[in-house]
Amino acid sequence: MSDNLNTQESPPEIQFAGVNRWLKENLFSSTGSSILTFLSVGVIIGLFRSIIGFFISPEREWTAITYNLRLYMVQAYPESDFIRVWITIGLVLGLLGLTWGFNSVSEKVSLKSTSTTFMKVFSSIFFLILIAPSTVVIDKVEGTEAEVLQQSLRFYLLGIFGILLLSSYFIRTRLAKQEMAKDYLNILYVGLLVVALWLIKVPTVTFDSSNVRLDPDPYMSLATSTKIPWTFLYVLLVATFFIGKYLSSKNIKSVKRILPASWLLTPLVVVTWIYRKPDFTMTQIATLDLPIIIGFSLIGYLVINFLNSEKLVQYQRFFVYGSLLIALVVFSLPVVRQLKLPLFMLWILISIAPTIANSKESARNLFIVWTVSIAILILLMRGGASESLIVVPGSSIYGGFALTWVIAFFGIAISFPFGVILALGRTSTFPIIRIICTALIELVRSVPFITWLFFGSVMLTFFLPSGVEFDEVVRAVVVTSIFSAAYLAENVRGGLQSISKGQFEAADAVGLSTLQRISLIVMPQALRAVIPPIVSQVISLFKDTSLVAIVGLFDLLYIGSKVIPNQSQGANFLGTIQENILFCAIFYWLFTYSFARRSMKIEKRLGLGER
Amino acid sequence: MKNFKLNTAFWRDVRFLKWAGQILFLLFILNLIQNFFGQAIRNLNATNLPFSWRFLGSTPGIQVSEGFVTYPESGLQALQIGMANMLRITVSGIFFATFLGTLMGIARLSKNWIVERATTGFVETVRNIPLLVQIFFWQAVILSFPRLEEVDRGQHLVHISAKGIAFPWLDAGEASWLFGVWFLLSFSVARRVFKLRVAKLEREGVDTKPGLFSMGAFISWNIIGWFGGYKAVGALGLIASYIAMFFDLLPRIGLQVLFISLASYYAYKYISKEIKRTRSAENRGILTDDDVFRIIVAALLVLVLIVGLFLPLGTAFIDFLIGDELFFKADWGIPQFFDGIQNKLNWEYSGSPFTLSYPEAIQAGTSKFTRYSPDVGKIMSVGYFATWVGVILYTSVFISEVVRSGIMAVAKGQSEAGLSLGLRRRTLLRLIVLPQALRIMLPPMGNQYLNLAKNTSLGIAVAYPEIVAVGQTLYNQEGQTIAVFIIWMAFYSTISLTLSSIVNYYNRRMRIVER
Repeated sequence: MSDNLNTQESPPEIQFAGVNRWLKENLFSSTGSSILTFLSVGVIIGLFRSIIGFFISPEREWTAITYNLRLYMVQAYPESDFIRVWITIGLVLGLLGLTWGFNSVSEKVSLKSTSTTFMKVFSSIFFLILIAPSTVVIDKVEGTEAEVLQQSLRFYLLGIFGILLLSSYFIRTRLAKQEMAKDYLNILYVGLLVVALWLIKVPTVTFDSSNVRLDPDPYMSLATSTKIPWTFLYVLLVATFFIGKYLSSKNIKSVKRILPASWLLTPLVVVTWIYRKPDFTMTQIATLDLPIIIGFSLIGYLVINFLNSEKLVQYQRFFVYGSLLIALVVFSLPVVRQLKLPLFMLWILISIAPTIANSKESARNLFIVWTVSIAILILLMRGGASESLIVVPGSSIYGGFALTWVIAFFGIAISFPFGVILALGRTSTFPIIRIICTALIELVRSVPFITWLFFGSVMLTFFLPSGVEFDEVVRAVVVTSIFSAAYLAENVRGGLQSISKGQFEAADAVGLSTLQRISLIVMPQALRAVIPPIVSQVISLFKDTSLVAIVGLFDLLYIGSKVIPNQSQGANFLGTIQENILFCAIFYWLFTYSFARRSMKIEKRLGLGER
Repeated sequence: MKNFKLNTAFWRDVRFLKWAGQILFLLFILNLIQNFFGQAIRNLNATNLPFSWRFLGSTPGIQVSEGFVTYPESGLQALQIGMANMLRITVSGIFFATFLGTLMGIARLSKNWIVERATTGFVETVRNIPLLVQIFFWQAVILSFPRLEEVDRGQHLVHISAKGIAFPWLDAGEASWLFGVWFLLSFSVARRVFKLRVAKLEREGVDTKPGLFSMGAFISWNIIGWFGGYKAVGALGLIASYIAMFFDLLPRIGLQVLFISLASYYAYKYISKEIKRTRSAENRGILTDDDVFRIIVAALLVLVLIVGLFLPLGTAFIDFLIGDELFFKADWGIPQFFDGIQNKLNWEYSGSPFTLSYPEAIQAGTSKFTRYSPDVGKIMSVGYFATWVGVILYTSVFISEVVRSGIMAVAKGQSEAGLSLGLRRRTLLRLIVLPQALRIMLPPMGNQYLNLAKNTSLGIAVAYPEIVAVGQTLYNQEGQTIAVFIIWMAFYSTISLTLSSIVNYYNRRMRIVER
């Protein structure tokens, strides 16, 4: 395999035929093309000049952003509980580092391509500084101008970026053959971001002792209160990366199972940890939860080791049905909640144990996973059920960019199984089920998302028994996932239709049951074929979460378009709508663009559309 | 096979299990729906706002900021204003987004490096920012213009202020509709001339200049129309008046019988087609349970329709169609429709169909404020502008992707073959590349149009009164959320169905005719 990779032929490198030839071919190939070139260069320079002028004009109140960054990110989350947010981010980043390090491939990139990227970035910044206007008109009627960029500053900046440009050119030509591990390069990039937090200084609103705003605004680091946490998190990320690398070099198999399981559990932990501050008491845990955990782990041990024995394995289906029956019966009985869900998990364990625990080592691994997940589940249930101690002004604890993530993530996660089921229903051979699924999908798709959000925020309560009320955010998540499921179903249906009839027939020929045929033959192929549309749908869902601003949830856009421009207490930011909308646009763009680029790379690696 | 009978118990028969399971599932779903709606009705009754359609007929007492009427007489009319406003953006948006998107798609395939990079940069910027943010952005752009002051009063050619954009517009005369139909006819005339000239070219082998001739026909046809030729269209109005008279005289039962016979005819055709299909060699004359199901459903649907037409809802619907319904104060019946056509297309109208008028800023009433005169020129309000520009730019970048991939999907050999035949670049595009690219582009293009139609609903964020915004105002006033939601659903489904059937029609026409 590795030999194959090494001997793979790389395409012949295109020789650069000289600047003159390139210009002639790409910019001045004909008279029309030349005119077009001059026109578009003029338009682009004019456009960039006015955009830069807009950004650095003294009229802009960029402090509206820097002062309100916390509002943008978490809205009204109490400051005293911020440590929970940081710990959660740390948890996710640590897990990310572990996974990254564990799955790291020793892929190398040449310094040539890296320095080419740097050269592109530096030369575009150089160009932008070169064309930036030195004065802007601040009063259109009177025509007064203000100086925004002193010539000396411009030359100073040009000098800096010129040196950077030259040094990257030097690296490109002299050290072209040198190579660097891709992972280290990425760590370097993230490190540069953290360094930027310390170095880049922006105007910040400050107050003196008598609560009067200081004028002019002093320049402070980009993130005054968060640079130490971010630095710490960066160190954590790097450390876990190396730990992951170490684990992978030791070839420990169980990590391979633990990591995905931890990723699956992360959202639950995040929700219980950030959005709730559970009222734990040690006595409850010791008297009720611990015995249950120990009991279930013992039962699990028995199941894994004895149900698997050759004598009993033939009765396995009776155990499966029996445990399901017990779980259902217990579910309807008035017993503590901590008993109900684990019984269903036990049912799942009994169903999968013979398939997974087929060797001594895997039996041990399964037992560890089982115990850990039962313990986490029961503790989560304890945390989720107890009263939250976090109090925020307003109706919901979710807000800001965190809300955007909550809706996008849970919208996708919940909609995925429903979408697959709807797609199967729509392609099923049972006419009644097909009609119902088609009707549901088309009904949901025919109406714009905003009307569904209104449905969720105004009408959903009518359809529920009186007394049952959900949080506004939960309702938004519910309609988002219904909406997204219908679109997902259409994508998955495309994948299902792309599978040739022979696959179905082959599955029937080897005697697979319908469920096996779908889960082992059809679905893996169908889902793989529709990864690109699903990813683009995830991206569009992420963008669509901004619509919750219309129904009055405090998401990023609502804060930017309605809250801050109407803010006059503390610091006066009345009417700073342009700055805030631009910030929102750039912020959303950064996320969607990088996500889209990343997914494109993954698609390329999977070789989709080529095989 | 037919005579071979296996002695299996019916509960192990696959066919029985299949249908029993499905019917159980259906019952379960129906039960679920009934539970939900029963709960909703109980909850609504408890809030003293029982579900009803009455608000559609009563005067809602709301003001709509723009539209063909600003003080609607009935709830239904308010919703009609919203629908008209939504359609205004949708139709013009589809036109401009297609134009811009095609331009950008071609620019992204340009050999000119800077044009290609600039367009790609623009596309990547616009498509990765949520549409709502963009709409807010355009609103902020127009609000950053100076307000209308006293110095601005008077006539302008084009004027932009925080109140919106004002520009010259063609004011419709009484004969405008007549000329409009005449203008539409001119396309088919030009097409006809083009085809005739091409036929002559192919027959005689001389250059007959089809493009020039069709252009000439187009222009002269319209010149004739402008100076009175449009009166010929009045014939359509006369026909419409007879149809209106016929429907006016038609009693309710007549329309019911018409509907029933139409439905029975189609059901008969469908069922006989199904039976004929099973007689083919492939199906060996066996009526499978799925076929039986289809036939039963077709028959059931007709039965439901027949019974439904005589139930209160059905008769109300028929009354609506024959224009006897006075309660909702909305002239939506068939006779009213044809009466409207007759009124617009009366051959007695004369005068020039359109006159150019310039916008004017005037004093608002007796106050010190200034506003644009609503009677002359055209004013694009802030909400309309923001929604319109946002939706068009957002859709056009997606259309540019469709166009780009469509053109790229046409095999290179096709254009090489065309060039080797000696076709000119333009002819090559028109006859070889575009027809094949269009075939690939049409279905995704239709999807984009649907998205555009749905995205206009974001106008609510910038106070543009399209159907969702009007509906929301209406249910805040009257409390009939469920009824408004049903109307939204019906309206958007109609738009989706219309758009997709248009696209499907063209798709079918362009499909490769296979053996």
